[in-house]
Amino acid sequence: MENGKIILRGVEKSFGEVKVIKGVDLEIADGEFVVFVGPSGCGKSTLLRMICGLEELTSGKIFVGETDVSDLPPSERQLAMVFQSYALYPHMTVRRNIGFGLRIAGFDKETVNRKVLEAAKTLEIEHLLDRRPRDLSGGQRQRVAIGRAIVRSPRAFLFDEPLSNLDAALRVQMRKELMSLHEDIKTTMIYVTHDQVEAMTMADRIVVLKDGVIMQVDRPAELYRHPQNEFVAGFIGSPKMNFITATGSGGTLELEGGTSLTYSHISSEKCSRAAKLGVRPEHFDLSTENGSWKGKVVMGEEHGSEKFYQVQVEGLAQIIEVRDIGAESYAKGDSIWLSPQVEQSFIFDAEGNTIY
Amino acid sequence: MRDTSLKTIILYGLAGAITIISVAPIVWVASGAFKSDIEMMSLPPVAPDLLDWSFIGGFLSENYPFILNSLFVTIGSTFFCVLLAIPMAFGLVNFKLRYENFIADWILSTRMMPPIAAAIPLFIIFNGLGMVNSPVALLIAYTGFNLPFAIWVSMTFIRQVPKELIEAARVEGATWFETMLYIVVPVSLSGIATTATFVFIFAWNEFLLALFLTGQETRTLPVVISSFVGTGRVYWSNIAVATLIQCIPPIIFVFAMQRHIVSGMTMGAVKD
Repeated sequence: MENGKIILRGVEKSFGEVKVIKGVDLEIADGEFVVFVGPSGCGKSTLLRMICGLEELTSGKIFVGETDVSDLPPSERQLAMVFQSYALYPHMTVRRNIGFGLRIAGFDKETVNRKVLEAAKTLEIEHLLDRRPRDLSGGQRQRVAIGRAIVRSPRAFLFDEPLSNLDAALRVQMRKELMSLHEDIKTTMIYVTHDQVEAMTMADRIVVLKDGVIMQVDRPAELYRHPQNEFVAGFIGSPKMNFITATGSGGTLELEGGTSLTYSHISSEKCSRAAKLGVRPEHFDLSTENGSWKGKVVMGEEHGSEKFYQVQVEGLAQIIEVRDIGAESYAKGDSIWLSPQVEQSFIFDAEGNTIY
Repeated sequence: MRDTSLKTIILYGLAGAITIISVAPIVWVASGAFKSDIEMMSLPPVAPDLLDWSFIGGFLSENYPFILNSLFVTIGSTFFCVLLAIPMAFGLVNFKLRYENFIADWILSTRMMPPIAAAIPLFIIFNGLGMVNSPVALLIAYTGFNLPFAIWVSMTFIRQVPKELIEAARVEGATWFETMLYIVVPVSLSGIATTATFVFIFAWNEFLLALFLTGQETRTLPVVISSFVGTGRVYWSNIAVATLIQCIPPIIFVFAMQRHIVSGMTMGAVKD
């Protein structure tokens, strides 16, 4: 049985003096949909290119199934990659584009034609088979690129920001289609994106990368609920989590600017290590009468189902971002009370690790 | 208004003069192919009888083997030059080699040597191989001489092939060779046509090496033309016919290649 399990052991990559991947260990189960996410320059694309063999490893090992592929050329790794730029062969029709890998592998004409047709049917591009890439729209080109990948029944699919060249509506649609494709074929997929919404909606597990190091690997909901560090907490969630510099002692957090917050339910040992408080915009209770913090709305955004406010809290050095789904609206200049939901907020130590 | 028209007249006058200066020798030589030596030199000029192909026919019946020599050497060296230059350029562009820039510069530097510097060593080498009187020697020499240039031109257009195309083919299971053959070559046809054109024209017109490396039987057309300037007499009519014939293949070749020199071959490959 061809196995789509992918294992990375101590994988490192340097370009000259610059280390871009600094020791990555990761196990991806057969059939899993894993998303690599992180800010630009975090090494997510490089890592993907190393898995498919387009970049050599500086050290470490990569296994696909039971095979050590670390020193194999990309052509022998039985993986398929979909590029951001589609990378369709301009001189070939869609039919020949999709069938290229099969022809190279030496399949006979009939088999190639049959498989190409199957793939085209799955992606609903049968009517485009005799066109050339230059006569296709962006979305159609993307489908052809995906068709070219699935037709070879690879051990795993690698996607390098495949949707970032599409417009917003098409992106949402393609996202759904990719997910249902994964449901159907149940092949391992690794998907690189800088878009955390894409990551959250598509992934079985998300790998958050920063500066060539894995920050956390977890299911989307877990990343949101239990970020292991300040970076992940800030990266996942939109708008971003509010971070407030703090010092703690004996169950009370002294916040920058003079305000304090009581944490009765955590140990004073933990509390004493606190360096930062993190509260997501959606984890505030709003009131006009009373609460923990008094402030003034600096800016309000009405989105219909939800509202976003920027609030200047008295005694706090920074503006607090708030998301509200209540019925009431506040206007710029309104006085407002904010109560951070203490249970839902996070406390980080000086190294950025989550304490609570 | 008057100024403008005067300016126009002067400009057109100058353009006309320049045109006459450049075209007149060609017209003279071309018309010479239909005249005898005496008619060519007579003043005022005699109109050529374009229906009189006797000079051309006479020349061809005597000299056709040399035209075939020229064609053999030119087409052969163009073919081998392109055949060798593309894989070399592909390797230099795509493989991670140590000192790849140095290698590329070094290859080009061999082109800086004047052909005369190589003529005598080449003669000695081919003489040792017993090939001096063979058109194959010239074919090898032309291929070698044009290869550096062909590699450099090929490198330029192979660099323009989007990297992702090559990567996509490699991930799909194509070897480097298959990637080159099925992806890079078809996408670079216009560049290949350009290279071939340059090499063809160079080889077809080359004189110096041909003079050194050919014998009586294996001469190429440029060498033959030069032989019509004898010690006692210049065979103008023969020179005219030979020159006319000499001009034709490059023109045909350029027109044939022009069809392939189409822009936008890579359109639709990657997001433009």
